Amino acid sequence: MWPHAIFQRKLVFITGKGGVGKTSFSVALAQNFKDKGKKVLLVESSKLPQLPEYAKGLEIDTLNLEISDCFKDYIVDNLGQPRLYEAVFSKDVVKTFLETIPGLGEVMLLGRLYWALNPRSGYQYDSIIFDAPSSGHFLSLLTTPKAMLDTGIGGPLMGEVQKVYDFLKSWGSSIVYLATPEELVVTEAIDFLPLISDKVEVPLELILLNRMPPPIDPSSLKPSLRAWVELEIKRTQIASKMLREGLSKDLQSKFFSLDLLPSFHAPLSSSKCRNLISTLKAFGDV
Amino acid sequence: MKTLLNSKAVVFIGPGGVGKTTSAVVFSLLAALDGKRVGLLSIDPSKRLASALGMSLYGKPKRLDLPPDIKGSIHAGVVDLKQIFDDKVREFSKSQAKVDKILAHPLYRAASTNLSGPVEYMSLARFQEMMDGGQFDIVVLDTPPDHHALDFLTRPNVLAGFMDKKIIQWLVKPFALAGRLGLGKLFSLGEKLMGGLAQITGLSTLHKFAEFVLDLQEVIEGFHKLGNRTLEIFASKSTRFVLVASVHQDRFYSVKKLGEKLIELGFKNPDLIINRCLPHQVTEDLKDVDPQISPIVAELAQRVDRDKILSTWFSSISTGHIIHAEDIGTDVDSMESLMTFTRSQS
Repeated sequence: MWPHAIFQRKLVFITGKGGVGKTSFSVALAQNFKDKGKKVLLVESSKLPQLPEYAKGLEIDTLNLEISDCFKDYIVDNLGQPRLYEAVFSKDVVKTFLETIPGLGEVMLLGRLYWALNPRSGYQYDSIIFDAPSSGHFLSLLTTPKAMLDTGIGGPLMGEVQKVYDFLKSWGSSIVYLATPEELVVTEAIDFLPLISDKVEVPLELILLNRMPPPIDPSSLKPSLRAWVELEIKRTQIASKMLREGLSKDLQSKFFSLDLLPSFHAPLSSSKCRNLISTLKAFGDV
Repeated sequence: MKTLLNSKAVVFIGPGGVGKTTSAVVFSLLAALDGKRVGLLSIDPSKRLASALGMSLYGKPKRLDLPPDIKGSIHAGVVDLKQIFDDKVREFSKSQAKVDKILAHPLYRAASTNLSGPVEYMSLARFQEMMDGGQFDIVVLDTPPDHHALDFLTRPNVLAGFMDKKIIQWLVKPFALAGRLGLGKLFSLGEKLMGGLAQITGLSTLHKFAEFVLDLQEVIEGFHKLGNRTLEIFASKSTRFVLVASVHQDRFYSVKKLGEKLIELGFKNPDLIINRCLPHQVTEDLKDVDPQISPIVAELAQRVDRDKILSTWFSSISTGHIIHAEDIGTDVDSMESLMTFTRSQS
């Protein structure tokens, strides 16, 4: 049932509300790319990087692309101008100026992802899994290139933006949206998914309902615990029904669910990662 | 809880999905029960929560309809980026012509509606208005999730850096001026720097940015003063920071990093709320069960562990209080459930 087309992508964005398991899923997906013989890079953009800890022992490369470093990388690696960087861009004043230009950081970040896939960069990766920001910031990130192009400004930088934009529009990249069967998360998913379809040009590949509990016979449990387990199961059923009914036919066809597994404490083991993917079910089967 | 209720400002910080906004709302209700006039500022409440409270998603903060036995009041507002940005441009700019020019600029329109940068400035602006307006006893601030919370706290510093180095004067101004004069000779260090920039971005790009930043100068200065004032408020003894966590998922790593960063930034001894702790009897029943009988039982057992791990860690970094908020079995998202929950906490 696993939709294998995803393994053809060069760049996969993993997004969803905070706490739905984006980082765990990103690592697990990367492991599955690796199992298919792909050279894969795990990327995050965070002041609090988590991937090295989560992917420890898996032999998968991780990279934290802090927005402030992206401009440096662009000039030094991409343009091959280390001296220009030293002379100009390492200066605090210039850095500060750049930080205040709206949208530049976002565009640089996307540009770096694009560049890391270019063999000229020296990285030689087949695919990148990007453990992306949660919903609102994700939308800003992916709508920035178009907003910038729409300003009608020219120059070499804008040429780069256009290239990145064209790549993002193709099936070279795709989005995986993660949700959990909780009311708040589902409400947000119902609001947010149509926005991704309408406003973001990156194709939406999968909608995953993470942490669906498998069936259990609670009769052997003590009364308080039994009542609580039944309550948890009822909550998840209500939420998953709400999500199914809240999505358009087109979005429903992208829908799958994952079993509830014991939550991961970093680091993840490769068997756990494989297990995660093997529990994937088409939503119709739930 | 008493110390929190007697503060002037309470800032809620935590990863996404731990119930941060709900905690901020419940705390506001507790303060109102205590007779306080509360200002509540939220970044991104769920629609359900907003409608349960009768909270307006746009415009200025609005007084909420609360149950009649509540002596105090809550004025709640949501950070509406475009609205606040527009307001501030009008407030800080000295001439109407400039206001019109800025508001109509394509970069401004992109920045104020589409791009993510300004969220921190905008919420700080509303926060400062609420603090200095004098109509509230206590202002409750809900922040963006995860590391965006850190952006939020350090944003005033970024602004201060921008201004203190007089970057506009010696970097941007001559360049924009040169643009108008047809690239006349420039003799400052700024020229060299901007020359490098131009090589990368394309000259016309740079002119447009420079002109735009120049037009925005008064607005930036306005935000700069505001940023300094906000830093003062954050640093004040009567401001408390509350870290929010939940036993519901394994966000320990994020919570830990946020807590450590908070202390590193000088906001010492925050308090901690641990949300959705299991009821006592469920915890007791779990002791007699092998968690491996089912993933769902294993997950419940982990919630008990997470509560312990969080509490132990927190006691080692802060002398603040730890509040264990119990899962009441229903979603806390209607006025009724909010009040039930709030009263159970008071």
